Amino acid sequence: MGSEQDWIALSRDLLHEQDVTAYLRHPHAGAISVFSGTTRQFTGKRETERLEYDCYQEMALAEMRRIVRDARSRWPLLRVCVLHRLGVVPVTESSVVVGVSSAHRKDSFPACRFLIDTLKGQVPIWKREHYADGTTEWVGGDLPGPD
Amino acid sequence: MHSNLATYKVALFSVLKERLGRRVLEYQARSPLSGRELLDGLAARHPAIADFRGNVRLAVNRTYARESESVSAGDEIALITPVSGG
Repeated sequence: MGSEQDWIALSRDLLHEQDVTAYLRHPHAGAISVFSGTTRQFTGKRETERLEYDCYQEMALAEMRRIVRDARSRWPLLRVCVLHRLGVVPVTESSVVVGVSSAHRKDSFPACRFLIDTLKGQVPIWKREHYADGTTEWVGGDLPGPD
Repeated sequence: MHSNLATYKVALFSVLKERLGRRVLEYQARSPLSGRELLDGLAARHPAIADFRGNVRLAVNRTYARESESVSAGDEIALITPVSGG
């Protein structure tokens, strides 16, 4: 399976799920799974106005490629897509879109979930909350491991 | 002894970039060091890094490194605080 079957990118522009779905379509596919992560207005009682993402771009792309290789080694996938937006992402817009196509859904669902869960824990990208009250906060997530 | 010192360039992101007010730190030391020696040295000099000493990972040449691994001044080095993409 060549790398022409993978679409891996960082972008400052709006992410379009329909472009991802179109890319994943394949004659041998019986399943397409896509996950979008979107900017949520409320976390508990705190209101978010927008998110802002910082990124170590060269390493993030290398980690995204590694995660896709891991997914391909675990499930028989046709096409794979991992996109992450950088800069400002307003409420309702997507910061991340991942997706796969495969012959059967038993492979597409777990592969899609693996891609987003591993991306969130391993890829050097950081989000900053810009709250409606004017305050900001860098969100601390997981410390990525060397393994 | 100064002729034996090399300059490490350490890339910063997110909260560390903001708190130190720069994208790249320069640090003079012998080369190579262990990752632990480099992080301890940076923490001793910069309180913001000391605050994250127990919660930071070293990336060496775009790969997460153990603190027991050695790092050279010519390597591409970055400090990675807990990530929060997605």
